Amino acid sequence: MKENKYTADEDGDLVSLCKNGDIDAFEFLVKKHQKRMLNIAFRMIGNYEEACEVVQDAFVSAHKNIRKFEEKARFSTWLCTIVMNLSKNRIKQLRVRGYHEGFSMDEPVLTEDDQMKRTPALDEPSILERLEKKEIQQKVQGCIDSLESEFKEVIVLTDMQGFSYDEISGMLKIPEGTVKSRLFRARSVLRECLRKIKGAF
Amino acid sequence: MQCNDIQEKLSAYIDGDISSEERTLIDEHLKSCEQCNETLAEVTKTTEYVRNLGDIEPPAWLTQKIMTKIRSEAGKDKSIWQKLFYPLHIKLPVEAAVAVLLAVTTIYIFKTMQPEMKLAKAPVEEMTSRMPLKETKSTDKDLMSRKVDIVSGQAPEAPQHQKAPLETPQPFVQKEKVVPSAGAVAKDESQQKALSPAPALRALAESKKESLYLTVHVQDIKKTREDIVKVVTQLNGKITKTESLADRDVLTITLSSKQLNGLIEKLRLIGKVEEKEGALKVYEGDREISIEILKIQQ
Repeated sequence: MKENKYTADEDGDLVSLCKNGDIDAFEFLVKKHQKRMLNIAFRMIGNYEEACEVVQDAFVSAHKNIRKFEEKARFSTWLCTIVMNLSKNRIKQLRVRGYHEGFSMDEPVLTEDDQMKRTPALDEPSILERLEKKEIQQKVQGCIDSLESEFKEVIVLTDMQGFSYDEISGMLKIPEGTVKSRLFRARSVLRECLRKIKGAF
Repeated sequence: MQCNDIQEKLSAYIDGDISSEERTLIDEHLKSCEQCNETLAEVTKTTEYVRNLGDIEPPAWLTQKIMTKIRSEAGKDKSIWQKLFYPLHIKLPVEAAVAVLLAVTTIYIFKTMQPEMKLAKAPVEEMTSRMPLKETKSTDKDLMSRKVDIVSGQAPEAPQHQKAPLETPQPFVQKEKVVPSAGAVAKDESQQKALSPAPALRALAESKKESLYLTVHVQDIKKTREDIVKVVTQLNGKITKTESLADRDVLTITLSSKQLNGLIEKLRLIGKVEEKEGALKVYEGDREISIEILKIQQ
């Protein structure tokens, strides 16, 4: 779990400035939140360039609509909702284009460094470990990519971004119980997927 | 509790989102069930994998690109505003105002130019207009006596002397005969006009329905004659005869009837004009006009 344990919005002052048309204040918010938003978008979409596009669009949209932001939630939560919605839209678009092939749980995950996986390099365990770790991470991302958006978003928001069930309930506009059941479903599917990966468990 | 029930709760169990009773039950079960322990390990590992995916770093240009987009968007909004409002609220009124100003200026210049042109053409006007009193006096009198005045060349304030000079035109006639003339008929008419009294002239004019007699009262006879010649030439008229007498000049001209009003207007600018005959009757074709130039009596 990362930040998010405070209740008052530390960005409140900056948001007020933005509402009065202070672009520099918004730039400050961009610098502060872009990394987190990029990570969310990237875990949702699974493509770095697409994620960058989504983050740009999200900040532009946030700036355009900042006056509509009622500050009931924190700015970061509000921003995250925008990133989430744009990411889901992007996934749909990519699926329609056939650009984004869903990850199949029945096939082994093939990566670029698939060939190196079986090369014994006992004298350099650290490199091997690192490669394996990277490999597993890629496969985990592959498994996440294979999830349906409704499960993926819950995994991304809870386990990766550490939002509370309450916050996620507000962001996704679903009851807290649904958040919990989706999280359980998502973890189960993910666990099934990881079982197919050698060395995961 | 069955293994399935336990496994369903393991996700919540690792999140700590579970009641203490349930936790105790699960803990008890896990002590004895290897399968459930395995599942717990997998669930925990899965969550760990996800949590430990690690952060990716944003590209260095990301902030810059976002801000460029936002700033250009803000600029675009402004330009849309300008496009929508400037032509309507500022540019168009400016154009309209300039157009109106231009029109007004043109009219003003045109109006101010006209009197200058009049002045340039009629320097005599000033002089004649300076003595309206005497002129009014003469206009107050009846037409007949005025005509007599004109013919006799007497001052209008001495109407009682009309009869006496009537007998005197003889020397003038002799002089006239000396002056070379263009048309014999016209000459005769002018002679008659010069010699005979008004009723005779009227009869002549009525019979001919062509000749018109005008008298112009001015200060400088010679200059006025030149001016009238200019005016007549301007109106495409012809000077048929010029007579210089002692106290007056007589110009006989031929002019299109259509130009008649123009001529009278111009003459009025030069001096006080009197129409002896029904001048304003418009006839077809050319018309013969005699213009008498008389010096104003001081």
